Amino acid sequence: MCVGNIRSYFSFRSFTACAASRNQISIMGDLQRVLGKGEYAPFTSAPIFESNFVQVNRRGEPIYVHNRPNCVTVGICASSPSLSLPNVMLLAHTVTKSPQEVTSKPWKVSKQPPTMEQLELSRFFPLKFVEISVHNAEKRRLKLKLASGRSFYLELCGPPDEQHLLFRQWLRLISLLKLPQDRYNNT
Amino acid sequence: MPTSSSVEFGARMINIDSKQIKLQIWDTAGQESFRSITRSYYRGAAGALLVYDITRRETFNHLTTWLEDARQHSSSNMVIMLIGNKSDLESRRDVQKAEGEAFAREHGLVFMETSAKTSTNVEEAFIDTAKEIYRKIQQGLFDVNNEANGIKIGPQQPSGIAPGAGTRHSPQGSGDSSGCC
Repeated sequence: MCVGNIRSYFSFRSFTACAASRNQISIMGDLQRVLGKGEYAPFTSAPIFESNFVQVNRRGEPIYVHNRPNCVTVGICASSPSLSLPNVMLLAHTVTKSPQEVTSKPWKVSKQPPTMEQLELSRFFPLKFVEISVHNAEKRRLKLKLASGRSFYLELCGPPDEQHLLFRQWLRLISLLKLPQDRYNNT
Repeated sequence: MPTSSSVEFGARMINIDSKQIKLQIWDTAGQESFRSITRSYYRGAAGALLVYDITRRETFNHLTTWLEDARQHSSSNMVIMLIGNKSDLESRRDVQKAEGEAFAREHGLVFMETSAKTSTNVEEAFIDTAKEIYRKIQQGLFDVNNEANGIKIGPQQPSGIAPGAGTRHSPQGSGDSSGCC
């Protein structure tokens, strides 16, 4: 049974497990599967809270890259099992790969299959350099402000019946991240 | 140009001795404030590109500190390629090529001058680093069964080697002019 009060979460691992349970979704998200391949130490086995977003501008209009909305998978995780709070934000994008890039098997030109899309990790930020806040709760938009002063806006996407629950989890996580360290340790 | 306090990932498939090798490349920020974070991720790297700007003496002067960090927090077998970048700006050169060569020789590094602008020696820098890693694998200096070395055997081609994170440290700092996250 999930404890309702966010202050009752004693570790990020329990938060991610509770969030998954609350949402009745598998804890193994797409990004976590990518990390599990072992190419991104030390994130291979890190518990992670992740969701898919569309990047928008401040007014809520989608940002387009190569004529399609820029979709981003955002993951929040801890880079060490000893950490009780997450310390890293990961960003991943779906990229289009040719078959040769995915496998080592050569293809005949005349029989080349369609290109494939894969989720790939593109960037990570230490959370000390990122401020995550709610930009528009009604539209389920978050604001990411970087240490450089730049800001990005992300709108949560996914099945409509899950968005409300997912966004509530992000609100909880944002609150958790804003807790002073000493207060968190005492909860 | 605003700097980015993040690590950016890139991947590239190359061939060495008819074997397909995937390079997983981590591009780190060079700011002082990022140094403590950067140290945490040396352990998973099989190779590193240590970069300075040939038009800025101070970036060359900082190499010793970066190298100490790398040596202290990484595997002793990590391959380090010293890169003198911006070789296209010869008229603004502030560090002679011979100085870079001497530093590399003194510290047991491989050395190359590049230009990211004109692509001179850029691909060669990564490939030569990978070749050196591959040579060490063949000599048994890297245990390919220990992923902490930053090397992973590819599942689809048993003889294929996937070198782990190659860390590029640029005291120049990295600019982020893109409007996308």
